Amino acid sequence: MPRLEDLDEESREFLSSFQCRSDGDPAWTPLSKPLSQCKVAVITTSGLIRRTDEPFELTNPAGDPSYRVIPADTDPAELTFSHVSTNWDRTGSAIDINVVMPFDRLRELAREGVIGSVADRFYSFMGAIFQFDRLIGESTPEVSRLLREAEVDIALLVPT
Amino acid sequence: MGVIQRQIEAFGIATTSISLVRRFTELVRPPRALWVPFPFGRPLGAPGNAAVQRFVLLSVLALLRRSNGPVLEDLVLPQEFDHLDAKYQALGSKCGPTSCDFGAILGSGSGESLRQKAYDRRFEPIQQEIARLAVLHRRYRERYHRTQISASRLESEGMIEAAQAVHRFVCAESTGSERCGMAEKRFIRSAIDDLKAFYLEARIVEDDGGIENAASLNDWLWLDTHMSNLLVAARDRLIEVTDRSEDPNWILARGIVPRGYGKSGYTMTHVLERS
Repeated sequence: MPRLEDLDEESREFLSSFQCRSDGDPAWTPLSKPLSQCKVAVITTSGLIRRTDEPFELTNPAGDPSYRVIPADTDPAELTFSHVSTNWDRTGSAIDINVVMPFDRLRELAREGVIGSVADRFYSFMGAIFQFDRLIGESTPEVSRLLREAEVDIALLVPT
Repeated sequence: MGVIQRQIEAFGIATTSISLVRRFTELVRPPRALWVPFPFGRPLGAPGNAAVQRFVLLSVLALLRRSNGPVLEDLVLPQEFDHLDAKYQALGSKCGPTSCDFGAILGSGSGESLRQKAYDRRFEPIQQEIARLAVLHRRYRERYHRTQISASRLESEGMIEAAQAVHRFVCAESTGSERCGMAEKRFIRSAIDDLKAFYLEARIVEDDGGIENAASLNDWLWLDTHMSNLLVAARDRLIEVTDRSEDPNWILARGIVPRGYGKSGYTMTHVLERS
């Protein structure tokens, strides 16, 4: 994004008002094998959903801490966003979903042997979630377990 | 997002991430993050540009080779991608990135609103505008095989119906009853989001420049269309009819009109201050 100092005053204040949760040093899990043998999954916080999914709840000012499963072979025609903001551009993904969710680029890297493989299922959250209890107590542990069950080695998190 | 990342890492799965707001990443301290200078909505750089998307992916994956952290690095764009930096792409090039001087843009020195006028409650020009754009939107769907129109549960062909509902809402002619299984205000907001998607998607086929820089698309929507006047009026009407005991923060009225557009920079902050 533009550096905060380049933004207009209102945008700067809006972003500065976000509550960030910080808990000291993060855990550190080193890769246990070379990148070329790792399975990669993407977690987006763009509010991406399949048209058949229940939309995220937008009217709660604390955000919706639930998540949606996005199979990695989903036809981009089946994808839309249930989180709409004037602060971010939707025209890029209207042309090429890879600008938000890099399905094709990851498959190319897997074919070339740069990464081992692409997970079958990706995950999607809304941005700007402030219901930390449910996020930390329910949704993220569930997604973590699903990633482990799928033998995912690397989770790549992509905001929007 | 960093909170999710930290927890997955603590679960024993290695993580790496793209950062858009460096300040948030500095505060939350996820184990590995690569700050990128792209606009919100384009974290991998640019649509249809596989080279920059690949460059970003390789750079963010490279952080996994570090032996300790947390790591927060800045992506340095090679010269061929420099034009994709958000500093050249403020939403609304005529209004950004730091201010919106409407008078200077018009050359009038008046400081008053641009081509945007108060909604005159005449639906016919909007109907004609949508009919013209419907041809372009069909071409968009043929070319890209998708649409983000979905919130209102109306199809692309139903955009005149969506606009009509918003028009009637602005003119206080609506019944207040449910539409498409949604409460009225929720439906109106959904129709607004779908109309914006319809306009921008149609414009993409007319303005190839918008592929690399969305600012020109937004300038067109908010400064050159009849729809923009209706959307600003709808935002104002949503604020007016909102029961604050149910929706104290005007959630349904937020995020309709980008900052920098509207009545001489009139934004939600002004609304909140006025109330």
